[in-house]
This record gives sequence, C-alpha cells and structure tokens, in this order.
Amino acid sequence: MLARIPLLVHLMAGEVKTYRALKIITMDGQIPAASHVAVRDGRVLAVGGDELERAYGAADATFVGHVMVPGFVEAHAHASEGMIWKLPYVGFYDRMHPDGQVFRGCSTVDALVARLEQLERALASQDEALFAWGYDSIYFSDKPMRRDLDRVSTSRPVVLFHTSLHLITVNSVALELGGITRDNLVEGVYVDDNGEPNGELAEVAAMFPVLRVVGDPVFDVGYATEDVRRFGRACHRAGITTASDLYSDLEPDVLDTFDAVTREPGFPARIVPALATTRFNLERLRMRLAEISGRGHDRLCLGSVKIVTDGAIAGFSARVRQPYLNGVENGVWYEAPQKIREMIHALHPAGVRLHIHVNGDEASELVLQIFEEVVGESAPHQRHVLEHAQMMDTGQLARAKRLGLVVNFFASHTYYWGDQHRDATVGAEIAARMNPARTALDLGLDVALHSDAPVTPLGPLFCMWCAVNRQTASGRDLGLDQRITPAEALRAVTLAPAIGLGMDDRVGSISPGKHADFTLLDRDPLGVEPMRIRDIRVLGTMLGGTWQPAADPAAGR
Amino acid sequence: MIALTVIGGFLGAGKTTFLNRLVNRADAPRCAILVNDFGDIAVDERLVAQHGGDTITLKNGCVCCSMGNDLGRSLARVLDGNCPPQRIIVEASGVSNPGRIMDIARISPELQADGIIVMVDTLALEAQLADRWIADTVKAQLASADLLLLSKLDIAGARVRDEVRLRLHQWFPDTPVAQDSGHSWQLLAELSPAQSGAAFNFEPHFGFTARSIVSRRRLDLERLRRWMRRRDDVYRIKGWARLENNDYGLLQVVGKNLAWESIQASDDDGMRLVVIGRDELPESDAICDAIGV
Repeated sequence: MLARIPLLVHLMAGEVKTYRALKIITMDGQIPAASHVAVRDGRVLAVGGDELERAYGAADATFVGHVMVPGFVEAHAHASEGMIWKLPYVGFYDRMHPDGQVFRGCSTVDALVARLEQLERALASQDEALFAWGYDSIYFSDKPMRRDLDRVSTSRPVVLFHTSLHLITVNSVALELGGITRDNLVEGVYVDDNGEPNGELAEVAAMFPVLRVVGDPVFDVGYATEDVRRFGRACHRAGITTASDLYSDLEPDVLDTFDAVTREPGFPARIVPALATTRFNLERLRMRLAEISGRGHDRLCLGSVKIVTDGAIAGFSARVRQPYLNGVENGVWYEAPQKIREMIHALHPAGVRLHIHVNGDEASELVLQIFEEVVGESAPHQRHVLEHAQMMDTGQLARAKRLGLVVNFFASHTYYWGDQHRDATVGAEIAARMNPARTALDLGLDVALHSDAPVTPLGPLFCMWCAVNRQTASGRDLGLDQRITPAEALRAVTLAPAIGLGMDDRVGSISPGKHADFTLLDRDPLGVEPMRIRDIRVLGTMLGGTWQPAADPAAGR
Repeated sequence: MIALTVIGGFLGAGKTTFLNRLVNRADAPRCAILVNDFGDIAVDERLVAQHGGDTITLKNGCVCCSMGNDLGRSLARVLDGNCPPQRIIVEASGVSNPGRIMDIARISPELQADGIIVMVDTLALEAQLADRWIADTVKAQLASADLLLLSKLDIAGARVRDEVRLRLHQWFPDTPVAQDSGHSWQLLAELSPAQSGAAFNFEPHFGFTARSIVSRRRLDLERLRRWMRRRDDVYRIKGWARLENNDYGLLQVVGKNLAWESIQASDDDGMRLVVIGRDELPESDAICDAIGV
C-alpha cells in the first residue's frame, strides 16, 4: 500500500524524474551524501539511494559518471560582467569570455602592446577610438604609459579601462584631445619624471576630459537585453544557478530588461539584484522599494538593499584603523556614517535584508556598532551580510556572530592582489589575516565566498581553491592559518551564500522542497587533491529541473 | 568656458537650503544645478516649465539635474544640451571632497573653476571635529573651500558663531568665512573671478597678506613653479596673465597645485594677479621679478 502513494502523487502532480549520479553532495546535514535525486515540477522531491528507483522508476543515467552538487550561489557579483565584454579584454591574467573564448593574459608591456596593435588593425574607421578593459597597472613594475600606447597609434585615441573602472590609461592622442597638459594638472593625473602627464588618469575628474571626447563605450549605453543574457551565460559556464547583482539602481527600464530576460525559457540562473542606497535618501529609498515590490518571480528575486560604506583596499580608499604602507592616512566614506546609521535603524526593523560593503576594518567597526544599537538582545530574524569584510579581526567576527550576521569574504582577492597587499598596501601581517575564513568558521559564523565579478572572474570553484589553499598569483602562501577545508569551502559557495541572500528555503542545498538547481562536475571537489580544485570542470547545470550542458565543457573550469 | 561652482559641506550642513534658494529665484541667471537626488530639492511648482526624467527645466531658464552617481555623465549631458548654461553649480555629496569635484573644472578646457563654497553646520562643527568616524572627512572638506559659509546661525547664537569663526580662521587663515545670510546669488557673484574680477573682496584676515600684481610683463609658468617650490608661505594665487607663447588665460594656484586655463581672444594684456600668503610674503615687485619675464 505504502509503495503506491508516490504513484498517486505522480498522477496528481507533474511527472517525477529520477537522476542517478556518481555522488551527490547535498549540503543538507540530514542526508549529506546520496546517489539519487527525484525531481518533480522543478523541485526536489526526494534524495537518497536505490530506493528512489523503486519508488519513482528507473533513473536517468546521464550523470552517472558525474558528481552533483547544489547549484553554486554567487552572493556578490555584478551583472556588469555581462556588459564589460563589449570591450576586448587585455588584463594581466588569462580570462574566459562568457562565450568560452579564453583571452591570454598580457603579462608584459610588449605583450599588451602587441595585443592592442592587433586590435587596432581590426578597427574599421580611421579615427575611431580603441578601447580595451581589464588592465591593472598594479601588476607592472614598469607600468605601461602613454609612450607605450603611442606605439599602438599616434593617430587615434587608445583608452584602457582598469579592472576597477576607476582609472584609465591613454595614449598621447587621447591626452591631446582631452586638453590635458602639464599646465592643468589635477589630483589623479599622474606624471612622469619630467612632470608631463604619463597617460594614467584616476577618478572622475581626471578621466572626464578624455571620456568626454571619446565617449564611454560601456556605461553610456546602459543594459541591453544581450548584456543580461551574456551575464547568464557567464554564470552558467561557472556552474552558478543563483547570482546576485549587488549594486543596482533598478531604474524602471533596467528592471523591465531583467524581468524580460530572466523569464526567457533558457535563461540559466536566478538573479538577485540589490538596490543601492547611494543616490537615495531614506524616503526615496522606501518609495523605490515599494515600486519594485511584487515585480519579482522565481528567477528574479528582489527586495534586498546594498549599502556601500567605504572604498577598496587596493585603491587605498577603504576605511582602515591603521594608515596604509604608502603613508595614506585613511580611505574615504562612500556614505556618511550618519546616513548608514539612519538606513540600518530604519530598514532593519522593516525586515529589509541589508548587504553592507565593508572593506576596511574601520568600516566594519562602524557597522557592527550600529547593528549593536538596533539588534538588542534578540537575534534578528533576517540575516544581514557584511560584504567583503576583508580586514575584520577576531573580536569583530565574534560580535558579528552574536548579531546573526553572515560574512561574505572576497576569496579570490587572496590570489589576485595578495602579493600587492603584502608588499604595497597594508603589509605582510595584515595581508596574512585578510579574508579570515578559518577564524569566522571557528566562531560559528556562516561564511560565504565571492568573486565580485567583473572585478575577478566568476568562479565558485576558484573561490573554493583560494580559501582552501591561500596562495597568491606568484605562488606564495598567504596566511595559511586561515585555510578552510574543501567541505567548508563548498558550503561557502552553496548553502552559506543562499542564507546570505535569504534564499536558503529555496536554494543552496539539495533538499526536498527546494528548487532542483544542481551543478554537475567531472570530479569530486571533496575528493581531489586541494590544489586541483580549480581544475575541476563544470559539465552543466540544472535549473528548476531543466538540464543545460555546458556549451564547451572542455574549455570550462 | 562655463563657470563651475561647487557647493560642499557635510551631511546636514545646509547645502539643500542654499540650493533651494538659488533654484526658486524667479530672476535667477541661466544656470544648471546638479544635485545628488531630486528628493532633496523643493522646486516651487509655479516655476517649473517641464519635468523630464532626471531633469527639471524652470521658467527662469535654470535646469536642475539629478546626477545619480555619475557626475561625469551628468555634466556631459548639460554641456551638450540645446542651450548650455552660463554657470553650472554642482552639489557635492555629504562625504565627498569638493576639491576633487572642482578638479573637473580645473582640468577641463570647457569649464572654468569658479569657487568652492563649503557650508559649515555652525551648531555641529565642534562635535563633527571630535567624531572619530568623520573628523578627517570634515577637515578635508573645509580645507578645500574658497569660501566657508556658516549656516544655522539663527539657532547657534553669537557665542558659538564667534567660536566657530575663530577656529576656522586659525585653521584656514587664507579662506574667507561668511555667514549664510540668505543671499545665495549675491554670494556667488562676489566669489566669482569671472564676473567681477574681484576675487578677494572679502575683509582681509589677521595673519595673512595679499599682494596685488599689476604688470605689463608676461608670466613664466616654469619660473612660477620654481618660485613656489622655494616658498611655503603662499596659499593662493589667482588672476589673469599672458604667457610668453602669447596664450592669455586664468591662473589659479591653491597650495602647491597650479592650474592654467587658456582663454581665447582677449585684448587684455600683462598680469593682474592676487597672491595670498603669510605676513612674510615678499613685496609685489619682488614676486613679479621672480615669476615674470
């Protein structure tokens, strides 16, 4: 009799499909490992072993040689990853286009110039500007300057956007068009030994005259349908089934675009935009939240808010408790501390989930003090997230635990800028303690890991690798005391970020009732040698029960 | 070139009140006012000619634009509009350094730097300067000012006002301090070197000296730089000059930062500069010898 019940359920609801995999890592403590999962109506019906075949019929064997994990959750990325690829990539490290092409890193000035020359020859018109992105001068001891870019062209402007998008490096033509000379220098116009502008222009004032003439090819245009689709493809390639877009104005036209694209049948991810507070006062923020309320659906999750408190450590603009190595006393606030306080005091009791960017330890200190004012004795219902949280110390993390906060560490930072933090920004002692995942886990915090794409490439497996191995790009160890285990790292790219996004009732583990969002891997991330985690390939993902194989799994990782 | 003025000051310093007065004057000169967000600006509906997305056009010829986070793009939009304004006024956000915003005018050939007004919350200044989170931000804002404008005097009272004035004079002896008396336009006109040529018609303050240079000689920027490197008693130089290469234009020196903007087609000749510094500043003739040719 009992065996017939599933059959009845089967008649009443949608069809049950059972999948068998080499191993299913569920991230659900009640059944940590399994071989079978049954799916109905886009949701997980059951997880278990052979008995599922007896209950629901023979299993689909597509994944029989693969390892299934919960669909990865990227809790701190930006949909501009889908936009920025309109420009050719000329960064220091290899990077994969959302459509699979790998761009080799330009790790010397000559390589950079050669790549740009190649791009220059492909331009159609005579005076069209050459744009590229992904470049970061911090990696060059002999950093490329206008003279190097003059080798590319002395007739058309050449403009390189840095990874941070806060800087550009340009050739002499561009400086000339912008009217930038030694006689109108301002902060942000860098000069050579002779006092002439060297082509590097930082922040809005210095960049303005050049971008005014050549245009801003990315952000002048705004989100197009294809940009959001491209973001989806980038997520899919990395095995991500839920991705945040953690800084959005959610203007009506942007919301319409996201709404339409995420409803497209093949769109491979759930997108979670967070409304940025920067341009709003509290009253206007409430209005905007009211305007977007009800616009969300299964693949577009709305309602959380992003507050940016400070700048970036590599830009010497994060708010820190000790001066930077170069003598810069402190960074800058992006929002007034009073406004941050006012926002948290108003939005926390209203039940709004807050994602609070705190890079420096003075910024995290401020936010902890404010939460201590509002949270009081009882743990909060909603789990707010400290984003980046890179410089938090043990005491601050313990307070974050008491306040029910989630910490979302910038794991790939260790690899991409670990060497620079050690040598140039904060020094070896602090660099070794940055993104302290071990300490946070030992204190019982929910720890998530993120890429901050497009700042670094989308890559949950790579973030895992970084947190497990703590190795910099030059191959040096950085803070091995803060290493975590592969199992802890896997939780940090699945269930923990789902908790941080307030979606752990729907995604983040393979559990009955949750969306059937899975990622299929060619090897077991908990079984391979830890240094090989980043070599594991994503073979495809399932979103709400719909399987989409990777376009080219051989190229993906 | 279009004059650009920045209104700065920490959150709550009175920037919005100041801007509201500007916007709502029916006889306001044609200007563009760039604010962080419309939510803060209270435009008199009777003055509104047109509401369009992030721009409000007023019957008095002014436009009011919401910048979002993108000063550069908003500025470009204003400059490219059908009817470019005579003056652009940018509201700095409560935490930003107005000097960094004014850098746009110092570097851009289309714009002329025309004064940074930093509003000071007279009541709150003492507490702000003792606040561990914001003291450095507030100080950087004050230091960037061409004019410090005290607000909330009606609540603050004379004693607090005098204490604040004294403190500001001690810290920034070369920066004039005025009271926000409600005459926003008059204040802008007085501050503007472009309009009256009288950039420093404020009362001189104790502890600093102004030297006025009027000469037929031409200015040598290289010699000026060398002269400035040798001196730490020069706070500001501002005025008009002709260079050896026959360029005529506006010179502005604040601290060690030198900005030169060429102005096309002028019959004016020679130097007309005001040099502000400490009491030991050399006499005008000596300065002229050092920097002129």
